[in-house]
Amino acid sequence: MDPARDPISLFAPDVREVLAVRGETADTVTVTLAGGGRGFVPGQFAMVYAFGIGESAISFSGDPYRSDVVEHTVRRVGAVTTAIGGVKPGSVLGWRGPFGNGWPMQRARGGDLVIVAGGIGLAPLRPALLTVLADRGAYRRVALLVGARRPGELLYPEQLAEWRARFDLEVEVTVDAAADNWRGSVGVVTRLIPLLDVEPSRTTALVCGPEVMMRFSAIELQRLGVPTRNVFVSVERNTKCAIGICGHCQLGSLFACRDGAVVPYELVAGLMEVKEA
Amino acid sequence: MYEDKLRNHRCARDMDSASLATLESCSLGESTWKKGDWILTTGDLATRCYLVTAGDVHIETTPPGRKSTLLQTIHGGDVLGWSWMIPPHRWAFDARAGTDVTAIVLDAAKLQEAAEADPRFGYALMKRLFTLVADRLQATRLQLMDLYGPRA
Repeated sequence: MDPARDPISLFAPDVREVLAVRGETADTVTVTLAGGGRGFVPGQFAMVYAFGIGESAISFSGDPYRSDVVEHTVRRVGAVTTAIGGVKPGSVLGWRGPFGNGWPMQRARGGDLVIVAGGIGLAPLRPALLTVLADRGAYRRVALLVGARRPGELLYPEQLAEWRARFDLEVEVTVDAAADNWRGSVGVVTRLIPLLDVEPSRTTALVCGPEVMMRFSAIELQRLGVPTRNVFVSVERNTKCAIGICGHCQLGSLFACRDGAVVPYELVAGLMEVKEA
Repeated sequence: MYEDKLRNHRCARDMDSASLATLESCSLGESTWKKGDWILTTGDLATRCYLVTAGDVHIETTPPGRKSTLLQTIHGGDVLGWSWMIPPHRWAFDARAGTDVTAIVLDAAKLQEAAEADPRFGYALMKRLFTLVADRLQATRLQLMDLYGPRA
């Protein structure tokens, strides 16, 4: 929370016009809103408000260098996200942000970078990758590992194909279950980690996806030799106020909204193994 | 070059020199398959163990009346085929080269003879194979969890 920010903006949402809605998968869309993201950094989130329904924490999924629009990729899992994901161009949503910590892009400069995305986890990692590609020379080897449930549930498939065609980016994609015409890799994304050609001691890893996937990814990264302190994950909890007051997003001694969503894995490794009701 | 590939494979890494020499004596050399080639077929006698060094291998099965289903992909560093250890010593699934594949081929009968004759080698081999198999089981469990599916 930035104390220099107008405190009103922390509580009261802007009204943002919906400029475009792009279908990504059967249950996921990317909503483009007018107005920028107030200088968000990759990994942060905003509270998006479907008036009359409710608010949900949605990560930024678009280009952080654009100041005229802001993008959020939303998966319809409940009443609020279904309402947000069901908007049409010309309608409005409430918006307040940005909140939370971002991916350690500055720290990653000069070294190798591994991005591991599982399912909708690619959405909050996309701004990180766009940041890297805008300044590619600042990083050594960069690898993007993407896992999805099925081929039809891969996010941003056209962009994935563009990234795959680059010579300065390693992109590997795998699905948990193959469709009839899929001849790519089948298996969990963690299985791609041992194949990485990076210098482990100089590698920063950004991991986002279901917590089980993040936990096993971190284990594989450690087996590869990536220091635990260089592994960062994005934790998600039931975010309400987004400014570290209500405690709904508490994870151990951390508040996901204030101390996350991006946290060093070593801070939450033990917490991820705690059974929660 | 080939000897380096064998020594650096996950199945042989950090083996003592005597065990490594025994493993090398069971090797039939390096083989390559073009994308789409079958490497092994369900029901055939399992007489080989493959240490994949490069490429992707698709583990498939074809249920009766249905198209071939791609179950899992293994990559360089993995071992393909452990049915030679388990009766009835026949392949339980098909394996097809998903890309061009290179693997070190081991004679399964020689491996078993060597393991029986030298328990130290046998233990070193089984310890490594077990780790690779356990990794695949963990990964399969994660696949079964349907991690990216709709939340309950």
